[in-house]
Amino acid sequence: MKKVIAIAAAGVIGLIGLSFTNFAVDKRPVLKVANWAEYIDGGDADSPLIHEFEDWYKQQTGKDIRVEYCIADDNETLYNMIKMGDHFDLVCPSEYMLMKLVAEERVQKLPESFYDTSIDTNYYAKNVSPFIEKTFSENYMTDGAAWKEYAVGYMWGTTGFVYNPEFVKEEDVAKWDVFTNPTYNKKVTAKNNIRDTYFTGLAMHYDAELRTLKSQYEAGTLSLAEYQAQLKVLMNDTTPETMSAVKGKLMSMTDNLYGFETDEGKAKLIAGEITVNYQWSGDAVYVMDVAEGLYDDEPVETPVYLNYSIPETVSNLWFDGWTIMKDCKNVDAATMFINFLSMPENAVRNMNYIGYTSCIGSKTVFDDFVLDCYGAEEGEEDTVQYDLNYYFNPAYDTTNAASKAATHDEQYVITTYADQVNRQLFAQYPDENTLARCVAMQYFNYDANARANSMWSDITFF
Amino acid sequence: MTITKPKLRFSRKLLAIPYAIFLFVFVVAPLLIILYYAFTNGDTGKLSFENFANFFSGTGGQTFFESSRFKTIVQSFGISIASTLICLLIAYPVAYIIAQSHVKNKMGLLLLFIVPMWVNFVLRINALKELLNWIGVYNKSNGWNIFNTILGMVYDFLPFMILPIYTTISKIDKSYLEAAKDLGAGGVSAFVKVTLPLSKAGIMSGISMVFLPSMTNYVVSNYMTFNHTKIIGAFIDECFRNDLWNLGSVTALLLLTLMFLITWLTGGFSTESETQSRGTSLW
Repeated sequence: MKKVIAIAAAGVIGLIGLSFTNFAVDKRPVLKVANWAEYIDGGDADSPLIHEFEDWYKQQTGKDIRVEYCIADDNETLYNMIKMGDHFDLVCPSEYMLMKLVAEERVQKLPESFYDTSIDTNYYAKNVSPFIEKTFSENYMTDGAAWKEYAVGYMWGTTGFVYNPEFVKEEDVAKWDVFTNPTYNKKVTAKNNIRDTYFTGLAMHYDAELRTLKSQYEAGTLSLAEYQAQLKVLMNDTTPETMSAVKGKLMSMTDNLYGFETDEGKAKLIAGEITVNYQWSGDAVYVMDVAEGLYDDEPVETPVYLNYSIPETVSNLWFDGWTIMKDCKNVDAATMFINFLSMPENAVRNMNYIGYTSCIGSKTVFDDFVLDCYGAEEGEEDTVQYDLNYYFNPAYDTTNAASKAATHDEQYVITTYADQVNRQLFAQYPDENTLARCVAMQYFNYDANARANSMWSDITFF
Repeated sequence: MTITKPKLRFSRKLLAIPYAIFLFVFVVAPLLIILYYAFTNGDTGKLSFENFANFFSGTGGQTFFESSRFKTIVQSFGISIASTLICLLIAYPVAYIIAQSHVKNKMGLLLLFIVPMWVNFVLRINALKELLNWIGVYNKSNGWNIFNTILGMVYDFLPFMILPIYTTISKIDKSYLEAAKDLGAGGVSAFVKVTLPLSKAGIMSGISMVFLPSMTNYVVSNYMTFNHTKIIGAFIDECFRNDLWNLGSVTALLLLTLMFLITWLTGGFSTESETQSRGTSLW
């Protein structure tokens, strides 16, 4: 018996020793990166891009680096990991979590040289979409710094409704009250998280105000900047009074809902069990692709053509962005990783794999991705012109209608199939007018978070 | 003067070290962390009882007893009690029949009830969900949702009720029953007066194996009802997801206390000699 134990113990010690020598062999310094699952070309830690980065880094600096690539399920999990003391160099949270991390002083500002376009390897600064650049300059952290001082955009999108046009009227999903519309009783789903659902409730609560603002903006009495500033105020209202009014709105919709979901809604939409699915734009693209049978590994019996709609009063604009943690020692490697991913060809590879929209908006991306995916063939009928100047044209001046016309460039207008205006192209690159009414939502502070959580308990208990 | 060196000897106590380490790292330490968060303020980190006050205070003008938090607790208890009772009603006869049967390969029979446990439970619950969806009773109404949750819990935890009851019944000394019959007891009264009391330890063990998990296993309730039916486990999960560790810890702690009380009241902490004297072991 003793012998057996001794042998077993020797074995265990041997294994532990072996694993230590394994660690010791790889002496390359580590860059620890956290990202969402399936959010880089080729999957996760085995992504070819990661190895290509290590080679590129060596070639550029002559130094070794090893990327340790970790997966976080969502913003809340990532936050809990950081709070528990996990060390990361570079993370990719959504804008609200980013703001929370900044407020708690857990991240550091980007080096000033990062935006210097005279440096060859500053691929982000040279290729970022003008729309993203503008958004990251005009939105602020709680310490008053612009987003761009702390973070760079990776992927972005909107929220809206994926729906089956066979059963759903387009004008119904243009309104937020589709959630309470009895026509879609038990056929519509909301998101199973506090933030997306609270946004929904706010949009229903402020419907009249939002419509007034929109008509003022369209009449020209309100500038775009003023319009968006006002939208931001309304859609970030977390006072106890508003929250309880919103709670009432949300309570009134629960009976009409099929339920709150995170991932299950996509399959239910394809199967026809539901007809309206409140969804993030990237997942919307994915479910539309799957439903019409574009994926070989997910065959469908009969293709279903789904549409995507962004409500007419307001919608949520969201970003996932790279930011460098405060305890990151190798800031150079971190910024180079960002820049490597921002090379237009790598952005295209990521987009092809992930299905979300990259914040990189250069001519290469337009040619190799947008035209490639959505451009209509020569001689096709039933095509429309779709203007993407706001996203790809670096010279495009959005100050007023005249400046827009003067800087408008025909090469960024794509000829696409008519249905794409309601489908994948629209979900990936909404038009300029639609984006005017899309605003970001801040993080909830300590007090609002506690109230929001108990509101959520009340809503989801039914 | 000679100093006798203490000899390094392999004592049996050393065998307990791996478990002691496990116990400390995965049971004691997390409990201490829960205690810490339960008694500190989330904003300032200072010692306070306000989390308890928060838990028992109502929200939005409601009292605690009108709040969804209280309703969630009541609902959890209801689901848990129903699941445990149904498990008991199904498990006891089965365990009794197997234990009393004259089949040679009793283990083989028992295996039939354990084999489902070899398949991952999320997979099984998903299969059950699809089945209900196909029948057309999935996510139909609140009543169905509660029913489906209980069904899922029973499906999942039934083996945990069968095994301990089987073990206790099969270990009952047959001579007790013979004595009862000699003294004129019929089949029914022998069962009620001998078998049932002697299998009490197994029943209690089964109850404690089913009751607590069916209060907190929100994977079952979320899957079976499309996130409709809420149990206390789901509430705790929400707290931790949404950066309300203090409230979550308080809830977990209160639940733990409640379970402790229930176990104590039902005699779950009866001493070893007591159980041994009945000739039974729990598993």
